Amino acid sequence: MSREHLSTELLLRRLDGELTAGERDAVEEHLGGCAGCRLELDNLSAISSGIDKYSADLYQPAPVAQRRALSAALESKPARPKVYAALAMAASVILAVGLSLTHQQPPAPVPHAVDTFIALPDSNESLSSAGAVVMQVEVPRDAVALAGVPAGEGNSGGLVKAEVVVGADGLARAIRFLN
Amino acid sequence: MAPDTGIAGVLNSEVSRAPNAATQVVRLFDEHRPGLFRYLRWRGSSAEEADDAIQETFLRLHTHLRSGRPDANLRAWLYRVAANLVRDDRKSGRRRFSQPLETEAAVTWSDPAAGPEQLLLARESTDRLQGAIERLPSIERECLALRAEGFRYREIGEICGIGTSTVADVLKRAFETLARELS
Repeated sequence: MSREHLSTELLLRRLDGELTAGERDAVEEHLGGCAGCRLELDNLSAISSGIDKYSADLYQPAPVAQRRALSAALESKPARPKVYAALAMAASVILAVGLSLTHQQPPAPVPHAVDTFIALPDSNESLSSAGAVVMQVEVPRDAVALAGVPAGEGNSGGLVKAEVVVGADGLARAIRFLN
Repeated sequence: MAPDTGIAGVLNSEVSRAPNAATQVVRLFDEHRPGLFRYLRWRGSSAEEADDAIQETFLRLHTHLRSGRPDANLRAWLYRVAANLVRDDRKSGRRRFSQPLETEAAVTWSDPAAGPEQLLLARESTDRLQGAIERLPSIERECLALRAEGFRYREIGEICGIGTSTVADVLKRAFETLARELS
């Protein structure tokens, strides 16, 4: 390494602090005795400064309303992750305890084909209903309320019984409350 | 899977995390919006397209944080999501324009005390570098943009979906091209 000039890649990685420990000493030793490589390093450094300046000049401050709009959107963000979390956990529990604790019915139609089922937010109506099943689960009433889904009346220890349409892909499509 | 965790537990932890997540998102927006904006402008987004993508990126970040997913490198995650959003928007036709970088960026980097001749030379140099950068292949521009934001090669590779050694090679080619064009 000390006889041949350093490659552009090696010099660039030296400039960027990306040399390995094994390379570092050899590169520094070479630079100490090679004016040509030091000049090349200076050239790369100058280009790097130009790139940094170019990048900095692309900046424009955020529109005044952007931050406010973000805050407002975060305030009003629907609680759908809670629904998904609940249903995902419900599915997990069902799988864990086995089919004996579930009531499996024949394949169900897609959510909108059954009036009493409520399509879950963002459920994909275009997916096939083949292989879909209906599972009975118990979901905390608080979670249902937080999700903005009408769960009907009744109280059974804070839990509400529901049927969930689960597609063959394992994703919940719709829910129907039984209470 | 955590079989001992009930639904109520999951929901309670979601709720307790929510206020912190929103606050954290706004803080991260303040911190990372400048870099994300520059990055998307490097990639050819207009200011409007960049701001729209950034807004959506931080809304997704909120969901990401509330889901309790790991955020080992949240900064890299932000850049990756923002880039994907712009790409998907363009594919779907929601954005019908892909603008070249505007000349407003062509501000000379020169000594304010320099004389007219030096300013002219600096301006020429600036224009040549800008032109050279904009003619680079997109992957080279992308790697340069992320490098300018201070990302390590490994992180650049993660964001661009390429290996670390490929990043080094791409950057080398970009620098060699720019050096040739400026010589």
